[in-house]
Amino acid sequence: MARLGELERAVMEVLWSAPDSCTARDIVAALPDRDLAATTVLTVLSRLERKDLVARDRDGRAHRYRPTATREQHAATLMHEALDTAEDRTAALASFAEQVSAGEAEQLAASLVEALRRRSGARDG
Amino acid sequence: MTLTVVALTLLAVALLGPVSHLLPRARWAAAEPRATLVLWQAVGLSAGLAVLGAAAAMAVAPLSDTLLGAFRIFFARLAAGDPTGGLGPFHTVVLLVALVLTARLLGVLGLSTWRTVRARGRHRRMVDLVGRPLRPGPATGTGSAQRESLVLDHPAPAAYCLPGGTPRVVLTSGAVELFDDEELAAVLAHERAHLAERHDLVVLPFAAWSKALPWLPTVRRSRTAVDRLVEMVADDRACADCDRTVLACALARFGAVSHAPDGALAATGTGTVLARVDRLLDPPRRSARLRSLLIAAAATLLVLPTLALLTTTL
Repeated sequence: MARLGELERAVMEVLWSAPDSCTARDIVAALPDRDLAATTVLTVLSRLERKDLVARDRDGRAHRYRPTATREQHAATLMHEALDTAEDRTAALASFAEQVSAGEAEQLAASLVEALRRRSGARDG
Repeated sequence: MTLTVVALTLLAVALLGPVSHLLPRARWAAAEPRATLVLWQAVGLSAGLAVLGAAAAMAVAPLSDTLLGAFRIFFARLAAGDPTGGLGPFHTVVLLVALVLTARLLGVLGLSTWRTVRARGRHRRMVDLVGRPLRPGPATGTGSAQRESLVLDHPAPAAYCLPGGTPRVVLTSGAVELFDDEELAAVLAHERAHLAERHDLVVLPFAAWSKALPWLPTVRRSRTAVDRLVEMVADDRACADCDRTVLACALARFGAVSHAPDGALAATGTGTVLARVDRLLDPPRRSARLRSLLIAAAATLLVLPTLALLTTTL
């Protein structure tokens, strides 16, 4: 399973950095591990397709694969999930700090100045 | 058994009323957050035992002087074919209420656990796919570090951890840019402290029950208090490895830039972050006596309802 997970990551990496959609052959060629069988890559691609991460278009006799969303779009979705305060976020994820109000942010800016002063004081002293 | 019922009811009322009302306001909690967390767990468990125990004892009181004896008689009569178990209509209703309440509390906890684990797993699999390792190492290491730290390409600074069997610490590229190296190490230490102390499990029952009993303000208040204490414990543990002022800088910097759009988040702007920064800069004096007192109180709270339920003389 861990191996499949790594392969999925590697295949997505190739698809995300490719300027255009890729055939399975393109992907095999672009993967760092060149000994991979094309069938293995096809298995990984069908898994990714089932997870809605990859879409497939027919191009003559070959299939061309492209990512359904950019890496940044996925990151934005994950961030939204992580910082969604309406949902029960604390149980699922422990965020470093909750979001603060504008007024508190101002006070924190003042605290930062004080914290930085003490930090450099601790280093010098 | 009247005395048992009265004692348990009083305990439940005290815990759900004044205790859960006053404990979140206690200033000394900041000095001993971990022991206070233990006390909170005891308060929650003890209140649950007291409510359910009082209802069960009241229901089967006519059958015997002791709870265990009464239930023995009740089940014996059920087995003998008496569908009421020897209880009148009033006591049957009380028993049903106790059963429904027990099922609801346990069911909500189970369901909430299952949902959380599922959501977390899904999130982690996506993070694993989309995130880049924080420190680029050998490209395909099979024995990758157990607690991998991953970076998501996103300008908004954020840092969080995904607890569980294969835990992760997740940072955004915005957060990596925001902090200097020392601060970044402190933030990672804070998140790893959450993972190491399994704060997800500490928070879980309070999160589940505040959702199940939203009309009980004390439950919601206790959940907020527990959330805050957990952050303090993680701050303290992170500071074992780094300077308190470094973590204070990281926290203040983070809060100063990541505030919510005006009006969007009035509910969560509770001053917690500011309080944490102040606490890091001027740590309250720790007290071994307070610590022992809190643990003793927690133990007493667990022993009281258990004794009341198991005792054979009342």
